[in-house]
Amino acid sequence: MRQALAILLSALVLLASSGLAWSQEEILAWSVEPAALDVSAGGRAVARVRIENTSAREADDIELAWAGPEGFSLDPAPASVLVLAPFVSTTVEITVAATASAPQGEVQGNLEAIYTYCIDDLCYQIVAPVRLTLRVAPSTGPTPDIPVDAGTSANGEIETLGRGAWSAIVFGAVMLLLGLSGFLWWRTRHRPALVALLVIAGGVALGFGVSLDQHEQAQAVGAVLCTSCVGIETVETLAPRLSAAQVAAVERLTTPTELLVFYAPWCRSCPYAKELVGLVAAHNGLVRYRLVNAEVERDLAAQHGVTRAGRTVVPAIVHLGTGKVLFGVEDLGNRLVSLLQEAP
Amino acid sequence: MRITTGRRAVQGMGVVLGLFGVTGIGMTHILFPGLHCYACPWAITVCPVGLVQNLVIFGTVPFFWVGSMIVYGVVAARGFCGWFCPFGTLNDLLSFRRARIRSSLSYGKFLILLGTLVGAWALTDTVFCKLCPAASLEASIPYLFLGVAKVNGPFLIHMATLGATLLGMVLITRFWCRYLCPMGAILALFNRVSLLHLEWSGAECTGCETCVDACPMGIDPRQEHDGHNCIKCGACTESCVPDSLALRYGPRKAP
Repeated sequence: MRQALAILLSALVLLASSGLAWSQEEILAWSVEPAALDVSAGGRAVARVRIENTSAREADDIELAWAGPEGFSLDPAPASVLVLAPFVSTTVEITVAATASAPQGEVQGNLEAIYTYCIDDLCYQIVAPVRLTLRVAPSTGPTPDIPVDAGTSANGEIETLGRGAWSAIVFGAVMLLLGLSGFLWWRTRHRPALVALLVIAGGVALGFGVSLDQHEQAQAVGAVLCTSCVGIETVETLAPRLSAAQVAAVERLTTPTELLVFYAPWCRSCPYAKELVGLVAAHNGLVRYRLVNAEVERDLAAQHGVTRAGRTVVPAIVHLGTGKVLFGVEDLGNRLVSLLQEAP
Repeated sequence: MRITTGRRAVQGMGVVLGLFGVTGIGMTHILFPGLHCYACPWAITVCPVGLVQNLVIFGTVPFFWVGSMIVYGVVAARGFCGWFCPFGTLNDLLSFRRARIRSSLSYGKFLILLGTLVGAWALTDTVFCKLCPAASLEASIPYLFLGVAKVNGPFLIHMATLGATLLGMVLITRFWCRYLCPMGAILALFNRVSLLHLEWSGAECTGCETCVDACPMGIDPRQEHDGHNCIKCGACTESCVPDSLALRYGPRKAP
């Protein structure tokens, strides 16, 4: 009886671990035009990402970032879509910049789309992979920009739907194999067959996970330390405010200042840091800033000392004049004003 | 070579892997087969419990995570608790008082695992990480000295959970592994089918119960060697005079 209870509990926990994640499904469909984007090494090319909200929920703060491979970037960073109403579509233009040393030939590019949506009081942050095919030609000279080649969006849509369908099939297959393992245990306790079934289930899940770049996702989560995620400080989710004294201090600044704001898309306190810097910049035009996705631009983070023992720490604000770094969001208003008041 | 000597060597390798980042190697794609915080400044592996919370928050169907856990489960299951996990090793180092396990309480680790997943889903936050004593030891304290953490509310909560867990470990051997560890709960799902396993031969057993006294998890290895609480450490096999208990690796004999 106790053994049966343990097996039941085990199965429930395993199902919960997969099933809970399943419940927060993507509500946006993505497609990229053109289906294959021509770009030369050292040049740029523009593509359009069509975003369709397929649900009755509103999607907020939709951001696109380059997620690999190396040698490419989105420059300039595409504009965020603040709100996408239910069953509405929009198109975001992205400029893919290839470095001179970018890999040539047909390259599978990966974008990472991040957005949130809420069901009643529960809000979810979704990170969705968006793929686009690049055809990278050797450098063609000093003005290598290639104009947009309008194509059809069909491939992108089919690819997105295909991935979802494959996910469902593989998920079902893994669950079936695990269920079969449980049945085998219950009926025969023939352990070699059980082990074989589990190895197949594990291999299929692992292989499919790698094909979806989930190993990269795992590495990215581990490589970036979000101060609020492991309890180094409290999560700050309220909108930031500046006191009258802080506003006056910001308005008195006379030295042009540039800040880098390092964030990770999944870090819950990062929006607070981003908003606070934006608020400060709105009060004094001499304060300029750039938002940097620390997951993507890890070299830049290392270069500016946003790492501790090899781990990129977010949120972090770098004063490019003095090189000083502020980590976290605790008492950030006062710390940021003090940072800005320091002469380079 | 005594099993304990070999086990200490393997546990040492677990600690070395856990802190291999001191060599300058950055984060890899490997999930750690134990409870080891990925926020540890010298970690090069990803904590499965931390990652699965993030996957729940992201809404990712966790193929890579499930696959990795099945692989670890088949290879050794809770053998990783007994032989490899650095936090398990800390439990071992603080082993002073053996006591029989309270079987009903040992299901607490499954509840904590379930609570960890539900907490991540309901609050869209890595709730367990903020209470995890391994994170307290391996992230909060190091980052205090690296100038990132401060002595604030979250830090004090971490210290409280660490203190309570250490006290538990001192009072009862493998306290954390017995009752609370969600990583142990994940690996325990595969304890009955893992290639690393204990075998008990009833014919040779004299019923002396020295194995029961030797078990750091406080179980009766003769009856519960396939249960979710056996960490396959082999302490019972060393104590067994008639050699009726043995640690084996490979497919199990059909019952």
